[in-house]
Amino acid sequence: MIKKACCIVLFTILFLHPISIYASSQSSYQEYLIEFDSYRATLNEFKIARSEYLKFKTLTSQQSALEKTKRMLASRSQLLRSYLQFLNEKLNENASMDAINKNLYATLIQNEVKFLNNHTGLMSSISSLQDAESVSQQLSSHYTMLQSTIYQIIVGLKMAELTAIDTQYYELFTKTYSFIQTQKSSYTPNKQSTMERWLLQIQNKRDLYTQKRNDIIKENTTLKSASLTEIAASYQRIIKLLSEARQYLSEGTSFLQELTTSMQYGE
Amino acid sequence: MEQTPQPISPTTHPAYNTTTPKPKKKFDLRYLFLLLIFVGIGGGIWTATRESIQPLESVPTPSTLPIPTRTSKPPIAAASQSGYLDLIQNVSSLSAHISTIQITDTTLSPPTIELPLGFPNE
Repeated sequence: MIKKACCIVLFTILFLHPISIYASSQSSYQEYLIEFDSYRATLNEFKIARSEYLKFKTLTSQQSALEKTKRMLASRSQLLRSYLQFLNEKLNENASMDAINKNLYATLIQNEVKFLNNHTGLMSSISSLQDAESVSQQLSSHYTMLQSTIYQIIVGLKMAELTAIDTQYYELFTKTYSFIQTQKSSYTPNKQSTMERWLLQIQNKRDLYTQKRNDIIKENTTLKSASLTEIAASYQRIIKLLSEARQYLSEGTSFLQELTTSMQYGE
Repeated sequence: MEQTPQPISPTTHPAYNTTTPKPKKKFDLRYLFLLLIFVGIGGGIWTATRESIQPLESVPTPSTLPIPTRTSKPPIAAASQSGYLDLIQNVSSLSAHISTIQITDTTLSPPTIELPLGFPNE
């Protein structure tokens, strides 16, 4: 009886495991969206209170501005934390990323979350608008680093997907090559030379992909730039390179499909 | 006063000259009018009947070039084996997988936040 119950529990865990992973990423994304809505609302309230304070300069408007500022700062920090949590879940879900990179990115996320926790802790000590300014300044000075980390992780996630495809691509290329070599006697000399030429073209597409991958790795290191503008520009360049790399793999796979279809005929 | 009958003077009929042309009869314009009406009606009927006729299907110009036909080549013996069939299947699934990959995933975009508070330094 106990054995039976254990089997059922084990089966349930194994069956629900992939669903729970998917659900965790989805639920953290939903939480992030809720936090985003909350941040937008508090930001609007803060803007109204600030403009009233700048206009009237009364004690009441100053008090209102201080309260709204504190609320907005807390919401802003919470938004960033929920986004990092979502990114962490995406990282956990990614089966194609190697353990070294996964650990590296997970550590980077943990450090950023720690920073934001400390930043949120400072909010209780805010008693004036000047205090609020200095606390906000703390995040502003760290924000470039945070953005750099975020973009590095996004690039890492996309790069892991492409690397997994490349591995599969190379594996299929090798199998195709072996098949042709073993069945050499079944093909006419003319067909053999055509297939060898096609194999070279498929290999060539992979070489082009490898070049793009190296460019991405090189560009990814420049993400640790001094300014937000440079980070954004660098990220756009990486996105372009990723698209090109994906295109090479797609073209190569299309060639491979043509070759494997043609392989069934001897002439 | 009695009137004396006048002697009838012999009338001299003018002798018709055969060489002189006969005076032409004037063309009656009514005939022209009728002709125009008939032409108009005829044209109308012709147009109406022409529209009702279905357009003929275009017949392709016979080409002198030979039409390529798929020659039925005999497949090699290994083409029916599981190794080859698996390879074909895996290549197809990889191709389908690549087409689903999105490089620009909007859900991953980081949030845009406002950093400076905008209070004057006092």
